[in-house]
Amino acid sequence: MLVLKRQVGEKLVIGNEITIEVLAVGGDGVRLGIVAPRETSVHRFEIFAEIQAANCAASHTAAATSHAALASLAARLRTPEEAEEATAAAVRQSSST
Amino acid sequence: MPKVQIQSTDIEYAESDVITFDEGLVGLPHLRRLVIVSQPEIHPFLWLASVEEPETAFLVLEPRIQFSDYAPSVPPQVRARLGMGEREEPLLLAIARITSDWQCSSLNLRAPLVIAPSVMHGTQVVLTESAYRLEEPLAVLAAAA
Repeated sequence: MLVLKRQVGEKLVIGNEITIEVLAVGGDGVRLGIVAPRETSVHRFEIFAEIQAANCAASHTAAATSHAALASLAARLRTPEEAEEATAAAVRQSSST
Repeated sequence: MPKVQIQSTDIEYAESDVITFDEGLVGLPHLRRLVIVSQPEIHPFLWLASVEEPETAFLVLEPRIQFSDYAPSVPPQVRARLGMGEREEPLLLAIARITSDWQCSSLNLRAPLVIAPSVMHGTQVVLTESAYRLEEPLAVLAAAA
């Protein structure tokens, strides 16, 4: 890890386009100002890690759940009208294959 | 037609249905090209599947199917990044997390996928300033219809 010392009002630049300025220091906290291209997302690390973990878990559990269990769960989310339509679609599909 | 493999089943898709996520998903930067595929028996869920990585897919749901007043504000910089038209409505999808106990399955309303249908570009937005939850329980009917 690169460690640098900066004063309040001083900046860092990462690559050519991302600058981070130390705005204020007080107590245990540091206030940072970040300028980055609009296509670059900036997240607090804890939140990033939380969403990353949720994404990984969602992908793994989707793969691990049996198709029959998924269909059964999906049926419980449908309105009665939708359920009828889904049944009709499933019948159409099975008769076409 | 090209195919994605989901749960050991090959499902055809059209190249024009592929959505480009320039940054990938949060924490998963390699997932840049994903396609929505539907299967009647899992409706209203949809699959959002990687076209590059077999067996990598998310179950997603249009959140308003379950939460009719869900209306996250999409920041202007996100709209600009996606190349959205001024009046264009984004397609919102929430990633579902399925648990073996169905009652505990949830939707990620905190970090929805925001997709610009006109250009087929998408991004996962983290809504930090809102009360939407990372694991909002799905309202599952007690008995199947």
